[in-house]
Amino acid sequence: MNVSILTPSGPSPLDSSGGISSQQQLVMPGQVIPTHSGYMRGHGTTEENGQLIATVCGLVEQVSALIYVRPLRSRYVGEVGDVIVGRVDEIGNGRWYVEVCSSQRAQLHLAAINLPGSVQRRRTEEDEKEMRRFLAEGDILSTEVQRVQSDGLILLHTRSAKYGKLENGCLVQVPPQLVRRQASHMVNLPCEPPVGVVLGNNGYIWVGLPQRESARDTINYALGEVTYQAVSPPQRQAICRVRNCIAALSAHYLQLTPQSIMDVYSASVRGKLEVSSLTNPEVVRDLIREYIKTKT
Amino acid sequence: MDAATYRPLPPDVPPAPTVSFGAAERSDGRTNEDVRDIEMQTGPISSAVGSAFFQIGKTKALSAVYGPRQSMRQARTSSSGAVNIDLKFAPFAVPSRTSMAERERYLVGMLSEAFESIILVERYAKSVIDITCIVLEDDGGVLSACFNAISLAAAHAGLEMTDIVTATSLYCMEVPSDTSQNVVYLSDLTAAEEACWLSSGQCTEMHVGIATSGSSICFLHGTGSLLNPTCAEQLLGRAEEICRAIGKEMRACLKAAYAASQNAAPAKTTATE
Repeated sequence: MNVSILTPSGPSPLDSSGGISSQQQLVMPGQVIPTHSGYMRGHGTTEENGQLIATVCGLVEQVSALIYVRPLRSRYVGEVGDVIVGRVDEIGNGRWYVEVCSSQRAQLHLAAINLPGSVQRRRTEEDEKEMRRFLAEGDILSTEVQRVQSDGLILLHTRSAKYGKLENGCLVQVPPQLVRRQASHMVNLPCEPPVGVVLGNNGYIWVGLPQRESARDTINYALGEVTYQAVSPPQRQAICRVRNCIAALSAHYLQLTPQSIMDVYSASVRGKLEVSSLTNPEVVRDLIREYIKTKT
Repeated sequence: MDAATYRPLPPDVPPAPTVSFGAAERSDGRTNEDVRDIEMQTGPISSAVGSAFFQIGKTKALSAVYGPRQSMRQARTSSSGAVNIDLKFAPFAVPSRTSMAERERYLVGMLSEAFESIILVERYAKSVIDITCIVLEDDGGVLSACFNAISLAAAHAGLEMTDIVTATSLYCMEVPSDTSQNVVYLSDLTAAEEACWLSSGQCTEMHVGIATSGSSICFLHGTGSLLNPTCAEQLLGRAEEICRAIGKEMRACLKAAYAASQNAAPAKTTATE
């Protein structure tokens, strides 16, 4: 068995280059945010004696009249339309309780899923008893935010062929801030062989076999049942490499996009790095340094 | 963090602490007003939402924040969230091997009350925030060290708070003397000094938590015979000065942590969907 002992890690290759960009202001709790007349108070702020005061550590953002503070670290706050990946925690009361890295468990109602064979009908008590057949505790699924209640409770739906149970892959957790809203969250990366990635806005990322192209939205499609299938060793290698590349980007707090993942992936292939060596922080640091160099 | 400071049992009995007026030194070379060296760090525990390490002298505290997470019980009983603080002394934190359970409960009680008012719990409906704090070494001033560690960890975790709140411990005692001024004010006692004066009851202690942007007192705990207006005013004045200095360092520490992460993250991108 090989045992490697690491020296205390030095600074990240990114630490030395300057500070916060000048347009954005970093605030701490209790700090007064300068305002103009007629502003609207957003998240992460409070009002006291007519002054706007920050309540979280983060950057001040302004969208027309709305002023809010975007924390650089926090749990996921839902927004309608977000693609998220979650794990079923509990079943009961005609709904699935899904863990999504939020302050409360999200809920997926029985009425918010498509029945197999895309049958359109009322959900009966029989369906409620059969819920475990669709999704059992511990299952991982991709889904979309349908509604966010005033107290932050997230309601989900999977009423599209692209959402549903995920299998034949692995889950990576990263800070939710690293996955920005982008054009496509479910992509097949052009690795060799291809790897499917679901970039959940909540920081849960699924890496697995590529999604089947046939799962297209039509009025009456047949739900593409995801089942266990044999994953070949080269396919496993590719999945693990992508997984380690995502973890590498996240360790250095870099944004995750299909492009950035592919760039690091190619850099690791170019450098002829073993998949297993990508868990070594020193190798990862050099890899990220290489990636930054190619970008600038 | 310097290694080689963990010493479960002192090699020899420390000399009896001394106190004096004016510029003379205490047993560890500080003047009466001096606070020991402080070191702080954010993010030592990567699995937590936010975490912090705080060291003052040889006293070390490590804190981690998990959550907010859902709690059915909280949803039923209250409209606001709750803060759960768990504080433990490491087995090697104190030289004696007596049970620390009672002291842990005592500290948790005070810290919970303080942080329930500092963290804006009404914004975390139906949720519970778990905060753990572990004392790695106790060399005096544990309460304020834990307070600062938790405060920094909470800020690092992006919890909504009223302010950056820092705490310090101050003491005063009467020293028999010929001169008119016979009350001595001391900052930040070490364990040896605490053991000598505090347990004998001749020393008055005051632990103060101050919101450093405004100047409101968020936490105040004092015991002793000298809690009269004159002494309290003196102590609070000193506390404010020290807390502001610690608060300034905390902001710098958080800023450094965020500068590193913000560098890596490309500047603001607009949502495209």
